[in-house]
Amino acid sequence: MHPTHWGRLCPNETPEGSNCGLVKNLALSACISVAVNVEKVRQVLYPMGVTPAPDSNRELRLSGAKIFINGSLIGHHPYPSELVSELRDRRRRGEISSEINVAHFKTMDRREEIYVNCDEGRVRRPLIIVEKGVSMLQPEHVEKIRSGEWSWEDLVKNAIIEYIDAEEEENIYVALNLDAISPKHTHVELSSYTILGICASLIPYPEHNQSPRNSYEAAMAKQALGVYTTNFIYRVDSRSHVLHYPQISIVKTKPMEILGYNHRPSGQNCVVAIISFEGYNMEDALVFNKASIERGLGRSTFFRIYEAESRQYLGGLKDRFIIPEAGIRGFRGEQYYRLLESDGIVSLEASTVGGDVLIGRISPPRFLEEYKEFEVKGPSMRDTSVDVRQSEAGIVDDIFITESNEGNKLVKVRVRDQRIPELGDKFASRHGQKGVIGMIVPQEDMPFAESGIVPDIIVNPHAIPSRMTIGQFLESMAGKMAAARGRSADGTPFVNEKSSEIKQTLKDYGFSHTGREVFYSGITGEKFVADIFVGIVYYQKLHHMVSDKVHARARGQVQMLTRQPTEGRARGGGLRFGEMERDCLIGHGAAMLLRDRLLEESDKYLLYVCENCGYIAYFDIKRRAYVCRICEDDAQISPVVISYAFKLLLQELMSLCVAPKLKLTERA
Amino acid sequence: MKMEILERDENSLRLRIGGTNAAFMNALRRIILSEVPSMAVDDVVIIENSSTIQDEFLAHRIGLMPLKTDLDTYNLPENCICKSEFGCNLCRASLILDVEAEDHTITVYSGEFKSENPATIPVSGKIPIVKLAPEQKVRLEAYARLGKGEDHARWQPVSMCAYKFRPIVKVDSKHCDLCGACVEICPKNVLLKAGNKVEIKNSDNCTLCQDCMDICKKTPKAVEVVWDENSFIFSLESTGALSPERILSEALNILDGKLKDFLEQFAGKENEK
Amino acid sequence: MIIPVRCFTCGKVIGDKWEDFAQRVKEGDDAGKVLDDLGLTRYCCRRMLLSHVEIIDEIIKFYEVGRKQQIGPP
Repeated sequence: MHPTHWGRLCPNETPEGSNCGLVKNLALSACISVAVNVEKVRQVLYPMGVTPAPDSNRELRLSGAKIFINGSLIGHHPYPSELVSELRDRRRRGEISSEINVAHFKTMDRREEIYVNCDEGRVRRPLIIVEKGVSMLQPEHVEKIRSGEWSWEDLVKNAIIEYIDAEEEENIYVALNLDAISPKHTHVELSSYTILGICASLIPYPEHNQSPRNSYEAAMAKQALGVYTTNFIYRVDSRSHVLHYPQISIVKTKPMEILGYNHRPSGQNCVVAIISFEGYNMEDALVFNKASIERGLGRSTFFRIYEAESRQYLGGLKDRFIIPEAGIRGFRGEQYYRLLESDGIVSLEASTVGGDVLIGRISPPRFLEEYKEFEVKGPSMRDTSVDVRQSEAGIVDDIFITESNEGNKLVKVRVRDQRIPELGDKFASRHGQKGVIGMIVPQEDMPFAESGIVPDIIVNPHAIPSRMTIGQFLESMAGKMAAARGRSADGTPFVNEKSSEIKQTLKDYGFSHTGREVFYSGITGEKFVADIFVGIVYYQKLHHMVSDKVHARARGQVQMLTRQPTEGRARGGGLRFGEMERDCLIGHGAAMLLRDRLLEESDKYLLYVCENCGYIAYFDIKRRAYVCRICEDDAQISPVVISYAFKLLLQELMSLCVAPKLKLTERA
Repeated sequence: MKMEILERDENSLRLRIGGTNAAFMNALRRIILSEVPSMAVDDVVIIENSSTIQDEFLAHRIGLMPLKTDLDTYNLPENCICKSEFGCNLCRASLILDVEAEDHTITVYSGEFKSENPATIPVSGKIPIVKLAPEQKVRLEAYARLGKGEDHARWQPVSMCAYKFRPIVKVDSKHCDLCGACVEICPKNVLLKAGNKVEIKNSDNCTLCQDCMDICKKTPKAVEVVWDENSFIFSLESTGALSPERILSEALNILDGKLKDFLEQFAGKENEK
Repeated sequence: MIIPVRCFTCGKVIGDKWEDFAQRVKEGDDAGKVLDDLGLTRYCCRRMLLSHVEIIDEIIKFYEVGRKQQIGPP
C-alpha cells in the first residue's frame, strides 16, 4: 500500500499468492477519470497569466512557477498560489470541468511547480469541501437528496463535494469525520468506511480482525451462493448455483444497503456455538445440526447447461437431432437413449444420471475418405450425442431450442441438481473462517440450552486464538442482540455499535452480557461445566461442494500415448502416485508394492529385444516368429517387461537419431 | 417424584419436576425429539408444476408443514397390517392440491390442501407454500404418513423441548457490602436490592449463568448460584401436531415399552439358564 | 426465496407469521414488538423473519411480464 491509495484502492481486497498486491480493487467511492481536452485547458490557463514556455523570459523562468499539463511543461506563472486557488474556484463554480485536478508543489530548495491534470485513468475520490472549519454539506442538502430533489451530480455542481486525485490530495487536509474538523481542514471524508472495497465492506467489525483475515474473506465472499439474478429461470449460464433460502445478514454494514446486498444476499444467519464436539470439528471442520439441514438450511440448486448444435458441412451434409439407432458408429447402447423423445431431445423433468443422453445427434463422417475404404454403401453416420457428465446427475429443468449465429438449430438443455449440505461441503463466516462439514449430528445429540435452542453449527474454539478474528465474536453477540430486540445490528467498519452497547442490550433482553449461555449435553443430559459462547453468525455456503469433487478409481481409461492411467476426475482418472509417495515406499523397502503401483497397475508392457544388437524386435503374427530386422537370422530375441513409457522413450530417441541399445543379462 | 405444572397452554407446557435425575429427564427429552410419531407428508406425486419453484423444493416445503395427527387411527407404516410399500388407509392419508392462478399472482397457502381425512389437515392454514404468476398451475397429490423425528426433522412433534436444573440462589447478607453489582449484572432480574439487603425474586428464572458470582468481589462470594441436580424445570412446545400432554404421555409409553421389552427379554434369558 | 416453513434451528412454524409480520413492519410497527406479539420468543425464530427477503416476488415478475409478451413458458 502507498499513502495515495487511501480511499482509492481497497487495502484488503487482493488475491493471495503470485498476484498479491498486483491485482487491485477500487475502493467504494473511487472513480476513474475520463480525459478532458488538453487544448481547452490550455486555453483556460493562458488568459490567466501563464506565459507559454518559449515566450517566457529568463527572470520569469527563474522566479516563476513551472506549469505542467498532464506532465508536460506548457509555461510559467509569477504568482502560483493565486493561480491555483483561482483554478480551483473556477472548477467549483463549474466554469471548468470538474475532471480537472490541480496540484501545487512547494519544496524548499526547488522552484514551485503546478501540475494541472486532465488525462484519463486517474483514480479520484469524492470529498466534502470544508471552508473555515465548516462542512459545506448541511442537513438541508441531505434533505434534498433524500426527497429526490437533488442527485449526486447536484452536490458536485454546487461545490459541496469535489473529486480529488492522488496529486491534488498532497495539497489538502482531510478530516476523518465531522467531529474532527478544525479551521485548518480543507475537506472531510464522506465516511471512513469508503476506504474499503465492495467485498471488504461486507465484513462486520473488520477493524477487530487480524488484517489478512479480512483479505481472505474479501476473496471468499465471491464464492458464496445466493440468488445471483432473479431471471435465472430464463438464463442459460453454463454453470450456476442458487441458494434456496438466502437471508439478509442480521449484523449489517451500511455499504450493504448501497450495494443492494440486502436485496440479493448470499448467506444464512446460523446459530453458532463455539465448543469442540466429539473431535469432529477439529482442523476447521464444522459440526452441523441434522435437523437444521432437514429444515432447509444451506440447501441450493445447481444448474448446468448442455448444448448441441446441428452443424452444416461441405457437400450439403449436416448433423441431425434424432434417436440414434443401433449400428451407427459410436452407438452407446439402448438404455442411454431411453429418455429421448422422438425429436431426439430429452423430456422435461426426466431424472438423469451420468452417461444418459440428453440430446441425440448423428453427424456425417469427419473425412469423406473415412468410409471409402470400407465396402459399406453410403455415408455411415457417427453418434455425436450430448450426454450428462459422468459423476453428475440431475433432473432436466428446461429445454431451449433456438438458432445459432450461423442459422443452425441449437438446443440447450438445463439440468438441475438439488444440493443438500453433506459431509465435506464448504462453509465460511464473514471473517475468513472457512471450514468443511465434519459431522452431521441428530438434533437430540446436540447440546441444548434451557430455552430449547440447539446450535445449527458448532465450530471449534481452536479456530480462534491464532487467527484473532475478534470480529466474529462481536458479530455473534451483535447477531443475538439484534434478533432479540428485533432490529438488525450495525457492524459497519469503524462506525458501529460498540461492544459495550451490545453487552448492555443483551443484558436488557435477558442474556448474559458475556454472550455465553448455559448448555446441557444432548447425549448425557448433564450441564456443561463451562458456559458456551453462542450467537448468530452469518455463514456463507461456498460453491466448493464434495459432490463436485468426490472421485475414486479402480480401473479405467489409459492415455493413448503413454498407456498410463488418465488424469483428472472428468476423465475418470487415477490418483497420482507421485515422487514423494515413491520415495516413501523405497524407504520402507516395499519393492513389490512399488512395482505393483508403478508397473503392474500402470503401463506394463512386454517388449521383445534382440540380445544380439540390443534393438527392439517384434513378434510377427503372420510368420508366427520373432523378428529382428537388423540381425535377421542371427537374432537372439528375448521378452522384457518394461514400462510402456520407457518403450516410448526408446523410440523417441530413435526418432532423434540416437540409437539406444539394451544389454540384457540374466536376473541374478 | 414431585411435579408441578408451571405453565400450560394449547401448545406448550412447563413443569417443575423434583426427585429424578438428568439421565431420566434426558431420556424423556430424546424420546420426544426422536421417537414420538407424528404425521407429515413424505411422498409427493407432482402431476403438474409450472411455478417458479422446482418440484423437489416444493415437496420439501410441503413435507415441513405440520399436520394434525391422529395417533389412534393411524399406524406407523412399518407396523401397519397392510405390509405394503404404498400404504393403506390405516397408515397413509392423502392430500390434494390443485390450484391455478388465473389472471393475477396468487399465494398458495397450506389451507388449500384438500385432505381425504378431514382430521389430517395442516396445523396452520396460513403457511405460504408457493406463489403463482398468472396462468401458472400446481397439481399434486401428497401422501402423509406417521414417522419419527429420528428419520427426518419434519416428524418431530415439538419445536422445543428442554430442561434446566432448578436453580438455588443464595445471598449471604453477612458478607454482602451492598455494592449492587450483582443486581445490575443479572440478566433475568433475579436479584433485587431492597433496603439494606439483596433479595431474591423468582429464583426459577435464573439461567445459572453465574455472572453475579463472577462480579462479586467478596471472598467468599456473598452471592451464590447453585443447582439441584435432582430437580428440573422442563418445558416443551408442540408444533401443533399433537397436544403437549399427548406428546409427553406418548414419550413415557415408548420409554415404558422399551423397559418392558428389556425386562421380558431378560426374563426369557434367565429362564433359558 | 420464499419464506421457509419452519425455523431452521428449532422447527417452530414461522411461515404462517411472515405476511402478518411483513405487513405490520411495513406499516411502521416496531419489528421487535411484532415478533413478541406473534409469539416468537427464541432468537432463532426471530432471525428467520427479521432476515428474510421475499425474492420470489421479483422472480415472479419475469413470468408476469413474460405472459404479456407471450414469450414465457405456457
